[in-house]
Amino acid sequence: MALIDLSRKEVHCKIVYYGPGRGGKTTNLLYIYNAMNHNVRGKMLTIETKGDRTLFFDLLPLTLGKINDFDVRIQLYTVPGQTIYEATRKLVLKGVDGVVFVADSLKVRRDKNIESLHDLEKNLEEYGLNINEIPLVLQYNKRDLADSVIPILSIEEMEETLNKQLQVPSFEAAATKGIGVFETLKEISKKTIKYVAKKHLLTDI
Amino acid sequence: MDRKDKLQEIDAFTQEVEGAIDSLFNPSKKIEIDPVTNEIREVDTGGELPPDLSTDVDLQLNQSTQPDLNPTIEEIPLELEPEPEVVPHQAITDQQIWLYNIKEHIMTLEWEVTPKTIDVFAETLKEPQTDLPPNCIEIAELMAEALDVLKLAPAHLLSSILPALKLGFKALDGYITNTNAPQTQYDIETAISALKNVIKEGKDTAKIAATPPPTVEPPKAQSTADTANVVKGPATPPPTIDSQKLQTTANVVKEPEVTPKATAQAQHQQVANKKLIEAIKAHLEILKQISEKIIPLEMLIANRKGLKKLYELLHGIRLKLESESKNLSGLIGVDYTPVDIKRSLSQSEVTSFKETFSSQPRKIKAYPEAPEELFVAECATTKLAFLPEEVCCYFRTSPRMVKKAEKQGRFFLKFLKKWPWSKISKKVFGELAKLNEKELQTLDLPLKNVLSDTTSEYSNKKWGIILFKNNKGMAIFVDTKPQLVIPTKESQYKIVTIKN
Amino acid sequence: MDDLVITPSVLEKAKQHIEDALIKAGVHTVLLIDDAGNVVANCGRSGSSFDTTALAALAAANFGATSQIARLIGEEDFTLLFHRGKKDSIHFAKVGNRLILITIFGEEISLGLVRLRVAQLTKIIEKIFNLDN
Repeated sequence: MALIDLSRKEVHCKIVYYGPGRGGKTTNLLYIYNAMNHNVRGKMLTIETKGDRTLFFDLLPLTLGKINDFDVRIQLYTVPGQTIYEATRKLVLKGVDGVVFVADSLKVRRDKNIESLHDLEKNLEEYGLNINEIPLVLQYNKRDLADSVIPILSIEEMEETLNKQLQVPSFEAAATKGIGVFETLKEISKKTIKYVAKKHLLTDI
Repeated sequence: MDRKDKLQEIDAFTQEVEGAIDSLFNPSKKIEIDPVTNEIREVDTGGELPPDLSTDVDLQLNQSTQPDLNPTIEEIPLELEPEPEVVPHQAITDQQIWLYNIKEHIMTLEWEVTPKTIDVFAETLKEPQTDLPPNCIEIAELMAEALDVLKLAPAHLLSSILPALKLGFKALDGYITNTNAPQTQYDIETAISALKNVIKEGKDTAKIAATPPPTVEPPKAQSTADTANVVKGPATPPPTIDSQKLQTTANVVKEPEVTPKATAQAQHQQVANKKLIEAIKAHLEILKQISEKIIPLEMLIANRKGLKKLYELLHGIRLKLESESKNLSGLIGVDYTPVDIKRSLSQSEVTSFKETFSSQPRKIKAYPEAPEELFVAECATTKLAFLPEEVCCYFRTSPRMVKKAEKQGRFFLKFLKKWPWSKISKKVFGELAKLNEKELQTLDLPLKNVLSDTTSEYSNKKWGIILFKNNKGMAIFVDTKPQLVIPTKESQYKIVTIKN
Repeated sequence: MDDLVITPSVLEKAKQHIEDALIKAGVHTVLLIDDAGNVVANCGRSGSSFDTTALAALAAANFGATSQIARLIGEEDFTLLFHRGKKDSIHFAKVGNRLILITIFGEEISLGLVRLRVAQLTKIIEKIFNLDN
């Protein structure tokens, strides 16, 4: 959960990029890290693995600087997406304030998207959080493959399978090219700060 | 502040944050990530990013990023592995099992110190090992005792006791696996010494650790007696080095001090510590002198044929002595000055060593049965003992007398200047007493140096002895008055025959 | 990066050594996993009550994280970890660069025994898997 240090006037939030394996979660972070101004983003931490799959998490800290005397920081995390890493995913999800669900637009990954979303819902419940309440945005990644021979799901299909009940903001994206990456980030950051501020600052001030 | 105001404030805050997000969360450059290699490419320039940016990221570049949807299984032709060497099975002895168990317990103790782990270890050590020699059994017993001490204050004592236990294990391991290795004996002795030390120190440390902190009470200037009692009471006496020194420390404890109880106790402890350190320094000095005495002898026998083992033993003893002195110096925070490797013995002593280790070494015979009494006098650093029936006179010397005798190499009773006969007769006994005046008058005795056949350095000798038996006798000059003593069972002596 | 090749014979050898060194001594579960969290070998009590897949993934993540911590503080790597539980305890040991040996044992087995045996076993397994190159 957010760390709000009223003595030092700091607000820290945690945003987790969730989704099935190979969906583009780490790519999102990589893009943000490499494209963003050095002043805003910190050093990216990733657990070195023999391969390119996330084993534990990736971490990218962002800072918004002083706002109303408060030091506002946002930490972006990714989780390992493969099924076998469920326990690790749960670990990383601990203390989450906002979630970006990165869905894979590939047709063959349709079921994996659904499975992963259910997994997210279940893990949040275990932490006493409701998927319908916490800040959440959907990102439909790999839209750039629409022009290729690889079959992808349409936006409507993706909305139908993933966003029918949630009704949260969704973004089309092609993370490798940076399309939709910052838009997603901005939206989730705003939502999360609002949520955190209302939830905590209201009671603490 | 009411809820409405609060909400407004929060709204304002979040709006500001959103503004910051809009302005800051933007790409400062256009890049692309290669989906296969994860390489970063700037879109405008078309080239790769400068190396320093990519080093910030701790990701490794991967070789293959194909999604594992249908993993392929390849048949990899394997080379035949060579047959493993067949090691002939050696029967494991009970001792080896016991040793292995000890090692296991030490490894547990390294990470976990609980009463249970200590007890289990102690139990293993107490298992009877009938085939081990006494010194190894002693090591096991000492290790068990060390563990008992460890239980008293594990947090304080583990750092000192664990290394000693490991030394014990090393010694046992050395013996059980390679009995006759030269290092083994040294390891055994080192282990025994180390274990005894830690047991002693551990008990003292445990006492201090168990002592409750002194309560600070307002000072009572008049109650010196009370203060003295408190100082005497819970104060922990320093480890005994010398009973005499300890006595001095105890005296310090009893001195009344007009200070608050807490600081009195601390001061007493400081004084006691100082005294202890002084005592230890004095003993270190003595150890150094002993070491210096050994060196010339070592050098003499270093290249002697047939004396190699003796040399090694002596050399080993001296090195150990110096090593322990060094350790002790370190413990009390004193600089250790190595022994000066130059001859520190006087020439006469060196000469006497030469005599002793001449090509035909004298045989040392043990006395079949110790005599009931002996006359003992000191000469240089040696204690000389004479059979009472041979000692017929002993007397104080004068420098003139000594000079005369030394010049002639002979001694005459008239040197005693106690003439006439009546006076002389009172001073002689034994066989000499049987002689008449004339015989005594003309008695001509050779002056002998017991430590060497050549006479030297008599000028400072304060006493003289006349030995006389079977009509043969000699005069000897010594440092101290001969005393009649009853030798104990442990007395050790060497018979020296002087040609007469 | 070289792939880790595991053949049935290599696996069988490793399992046999694990059996001889640890299981027969009374340890109830030993897992040999790779650094990505995959279970290579599972020895000991059949039908363990816990999720070995999750354990493997978490252990691998743990070692991955501590590896990073080691690097942060200027160390090469941490290769051992031990947790004492009320009933059971768990010991982790890195085997070469690619594998992790996880040993779960009850209070009847001494820690020293596990440490000793695991130290010997890791050398053997490294050889078997050619990880000591």
